[in-house]
Amino acid sequence: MTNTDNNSYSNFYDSKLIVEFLQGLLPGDLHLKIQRQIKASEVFRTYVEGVQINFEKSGKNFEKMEADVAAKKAQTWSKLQRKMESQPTLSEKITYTLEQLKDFFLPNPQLELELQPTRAADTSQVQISINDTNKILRLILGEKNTQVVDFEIFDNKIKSIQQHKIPAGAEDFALPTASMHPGIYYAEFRPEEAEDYIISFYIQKNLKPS
Amino acid sequence: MKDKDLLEAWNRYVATGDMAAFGQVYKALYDDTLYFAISKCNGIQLEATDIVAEIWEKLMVKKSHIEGNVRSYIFAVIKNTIIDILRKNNRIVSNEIPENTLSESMKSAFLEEDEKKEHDLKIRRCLDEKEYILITQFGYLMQDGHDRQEANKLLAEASGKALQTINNKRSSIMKKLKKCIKQ
Repeated sequence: MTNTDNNSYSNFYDSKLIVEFLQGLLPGDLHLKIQRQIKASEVFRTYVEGVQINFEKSGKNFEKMEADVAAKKAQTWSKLQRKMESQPTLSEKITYTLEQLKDFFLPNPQLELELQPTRAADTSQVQISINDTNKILRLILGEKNTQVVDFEIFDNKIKSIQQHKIPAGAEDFALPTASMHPGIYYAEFRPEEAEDYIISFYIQKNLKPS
Repeated sequence: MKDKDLLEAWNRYVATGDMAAFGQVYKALYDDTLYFAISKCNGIQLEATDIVAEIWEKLMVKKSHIEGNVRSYIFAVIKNTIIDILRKNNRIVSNEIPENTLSESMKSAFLEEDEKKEHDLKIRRCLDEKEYILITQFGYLMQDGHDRQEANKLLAEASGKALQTINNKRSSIMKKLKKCIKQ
């Protein structure tokens, strides 16, 4: 299958931008450019209509629309995770040397320092539960989660592994860990209206060299 | 995420099975695919969420090599899947889904070239000088091909302010503008 659509304006695939367009909130030049793109591309027009239909369905409440889409996204992701579990994982295919395992479980001094305020003040609002058998990481947010929370997982070399957005109101959030090797990891949480904080966790802690 | 990064991530997934790469594509494109499917399913009593879920599963399992644009490829898969479902149910005979025309409410958002000046004046009247400059610059950056995050980042760098400050400022300007334009 080949791409026949003009996607030179791929940055216009942005629901917030489209809602602002539909409400006439964008400066004239940008408004006209989006309008021209709608007229020129059937695919883009279909996308814009989808945003419009959903926006109207959510009572023209953008935050509600975004939260609904985020919930569906998380739900589909969970289904995909279950499907993934039936496939052989990286850790099942690979055996690690003792040196590699020592390296994977070595705490990162910089991130460990950033952990200190979290530990000292116990400000963390999220709990992390790891199921190494099912290769699932579950974030337990509780009923108090009233805001959107961005979070990112880093390995001990501060390499970004996964990034997600937890919708407001979500009580828990599940992620696949099948592609993550054993070791220590750090999850950074960035709530919209509160201080950022970091929590560390292990994947396959049973493999941690003593 | 840029189109070329999406293609790179997708092809990394196809070549190595790297689920993190698949996750990047999913995270970047799920919303677009859902909105596209919602529009295609409008008025034909198909559940867009289920179709999109089925397609992402198919994409994950089949690991098809993609050339060109990942988003367009997935949109084409959605369109073809809907056609197949309708055909199986004897609801269409051709290769096309009944086309939606521009809805009336979307038409009302359209401006003629000569209305642009008036539109800008309306926005100008609702905002103070600094606010107006900020959203105009944002508009130029989006027209230049930057996405929202990049545009906000560039505005933050240019003004020497924190990214969060710019994000908050833009949100409050949009709220103010919405309220003002409604009046």
